[in-house]
Amino acid sequence: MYHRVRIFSGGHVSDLESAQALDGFMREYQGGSLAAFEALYRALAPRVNGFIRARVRDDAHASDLLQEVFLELHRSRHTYLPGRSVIGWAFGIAQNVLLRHRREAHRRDRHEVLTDLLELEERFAPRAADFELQALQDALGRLSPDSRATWWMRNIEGLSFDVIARRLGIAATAVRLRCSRASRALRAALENGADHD
Amino acid sequence: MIESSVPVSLVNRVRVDIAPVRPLASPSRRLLALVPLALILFLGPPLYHHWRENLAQMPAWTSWGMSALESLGGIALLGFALRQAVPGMAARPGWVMLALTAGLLLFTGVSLTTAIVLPTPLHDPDSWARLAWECVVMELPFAIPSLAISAWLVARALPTRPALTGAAYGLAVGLMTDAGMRLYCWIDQPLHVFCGHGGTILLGMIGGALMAALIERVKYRRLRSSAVK
Repeated sequence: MYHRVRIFSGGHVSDLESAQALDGFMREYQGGSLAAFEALYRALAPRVNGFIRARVRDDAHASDLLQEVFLELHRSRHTYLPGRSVIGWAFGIAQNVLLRHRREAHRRDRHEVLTDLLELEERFAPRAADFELQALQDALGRLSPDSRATWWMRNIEGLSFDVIARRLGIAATAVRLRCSRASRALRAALENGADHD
Repeated sequence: MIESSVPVSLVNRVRVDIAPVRPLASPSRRLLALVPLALILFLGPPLYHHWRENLAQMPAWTSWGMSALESLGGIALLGFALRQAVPGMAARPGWVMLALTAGLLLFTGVSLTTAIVLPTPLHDPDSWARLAWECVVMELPFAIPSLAISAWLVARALPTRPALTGAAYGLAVGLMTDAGMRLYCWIDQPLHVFCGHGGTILLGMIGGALMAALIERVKYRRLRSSAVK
């Protein structure tokens, strides 16, 4: 339940929960009142924060997002149509900001995974050669880049499944599955290599 | 835990730009402002080029009626896109997909109905690709400015799913342009209509989606950079 704002422009405001009061504040805010913005913040922030926290677990990130929602709300204050629900409008903006963040995070993760894979490729060649196990090097070379990266991070760098999952932007169970499959493929490849020898 | 007072950094950021703003007009009012555009798209192609050769042979419900229906479908879709761009008024993605499907079905239905009522085969069947391309080229000068106007109107608000909203107004513009083009282009052969006219509609959808996504990304970057300052 969000708290009520009693003081606005030096006087008393009966009840911010009422849609009419919020609508009034929005009109004043659109008219250039900073006090109206502050009153709106006090009324809307707990609800918007709840909306964000239902979707984002990280406290610091949720707090940043709340600020960003209010910045976007300020920038887009002209999109509020007087007479309509202020809360619905604010949630619409919050959803917009969340979706944009999700898209950006997705793009960033994809870029980071690609960068990680490239780095691994660069590091992989000399270090695998250090093993002097040509068969292992060949077998690793036959794995897909995703599987190779996952196996490498788990078995050579010794990272936990959760850390790998975060780094690759996939579920920890998917990391376990990838590692298990990669290990099985490597074992099979090495056994076949030994048979041929 | 939320502070009861507004963070100072946010207040300072808001204070520098607290100038009064004029609220956006409602989507229906903005749509009304676009009715002249729909009329230009409806009458522009036949008036600029010439009326279709077989207009007199067609029943009025097929020529004027079907074109008007297609144009109205485009206007409705444009209204939907404008509404979609206002925070708190956006429909779920499923509804947007349904609206897009309805728009494409409208085009298909109108084209097939006309083709059945008055089949017009090509004089030279080998030239279908050239004629289809000609129709695309003739439609683009009408479609591109309309797409830009729609993009501007949508960008003034804040679409939550810009690509889908852009596809909706792109399809709307495509339908409205095609409604006028049908009064000029006398060829009803489905291959021509779906490749030439349908191709323009598809281009409109793709162009709209790309344009809206790009505009929103630029707006977002500006917001982020101003937030950093």
